[in-house]
Amino acid sequence: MHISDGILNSTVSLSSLAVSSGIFLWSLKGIRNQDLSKTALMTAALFVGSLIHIPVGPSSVHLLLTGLAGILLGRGAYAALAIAVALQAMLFQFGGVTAIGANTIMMGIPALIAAWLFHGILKRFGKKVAVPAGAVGGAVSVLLASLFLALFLWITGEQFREVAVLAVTAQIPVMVIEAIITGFMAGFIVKVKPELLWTSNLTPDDNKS
Amino acid sequence: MRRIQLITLYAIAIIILIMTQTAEAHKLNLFLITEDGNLQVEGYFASGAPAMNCKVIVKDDRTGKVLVTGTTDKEGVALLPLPEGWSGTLLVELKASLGHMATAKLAVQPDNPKSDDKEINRELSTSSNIEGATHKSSEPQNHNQSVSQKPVLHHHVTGFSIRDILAGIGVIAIIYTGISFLKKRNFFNQ
Repeated sequence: MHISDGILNSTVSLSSLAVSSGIFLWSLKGIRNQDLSKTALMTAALFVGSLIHIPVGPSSVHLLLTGLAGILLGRGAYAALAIAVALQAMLFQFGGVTAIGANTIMMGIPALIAAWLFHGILKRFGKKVAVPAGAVGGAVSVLLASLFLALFLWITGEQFREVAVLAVTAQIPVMVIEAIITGFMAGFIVKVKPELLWTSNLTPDDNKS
Repeated sequence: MRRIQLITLYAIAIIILIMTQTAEAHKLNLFLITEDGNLQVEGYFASGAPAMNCKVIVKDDRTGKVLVTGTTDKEGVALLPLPEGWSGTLLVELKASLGHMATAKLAVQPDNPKSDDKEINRELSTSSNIEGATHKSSEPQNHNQSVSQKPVLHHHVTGFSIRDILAGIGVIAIIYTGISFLKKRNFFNQ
């Protein structure tokens, strides 16, 4: 789910790059020194995760892991995704270099929303709902990413509107898979090593509960 | 000691980078062959994976009327019969799911629409246009082909080499070492 070079017009491409750069710096600033190694590890996971393909009918889909990134890194998820997306574009031509801004917004903002959703649910209902909260975060992040993708294609031109609709429907299996993976990962982490979670909006008591 | 660790980390990352070659672009290559009044469409990715189960739409370029449609098989090939006696310019669209959307134009001359000549176009690079094609016969060229490829979304079919992945991880290590360095100097708080 990466937009290639030459698809977006220059206005969309440049404005998305400008917006994305601002959010990237904000995100970088929010990474605590002690979280840098975790962020680097998650960046590597995001970078490799997108290369794992699952056959679905005549096509195949790949994991996004944006929900998991948001849950683990919070604000830092955007920076991690930006670096992963940029490297995928430059090393594998997986997504266009001119579309890095759009591709990062497409993945990064859903990750931030997933983080907000997950930690909001956890704060309200406690860690017993970690699995469903993670599943919601995972599913919502994929849904939003596909909607962002559709939006970018839609505003680019009429010729891509058919693909825009297809882009959303094709992500439904990914949504389910990501919900399951993120839910179980979140449940496992909360149970085994809750300090791995991004907890800047949780009090120590919330984390222990 | 810490400085030695940092230098070692950089050295490892640089060695990984040197060992790595740039990954080949994941392009969709499109071959068009006309034979006995049939149009053979072949689509495959640069990795060699055939563009299977892709929808092929052949239109009259002038009117936009759909002449024939089909789907590529497991080998990425679709053999489509052209309307008898038809002449003009064909617009061939290959829709490779979310991966790529390739289009090609093929001009068919009225004097010899069912030529036995095989017409093969070269591998295409992204957004390139190729005019004309290589003829295997000595007869004058009766087709004129221009092909363009417009990938919408990148969609990989095959895996990548371990070397490419290690290179990416090496670059990530370098980037985060740099970020750590800048953060320790309060670069982002200025």
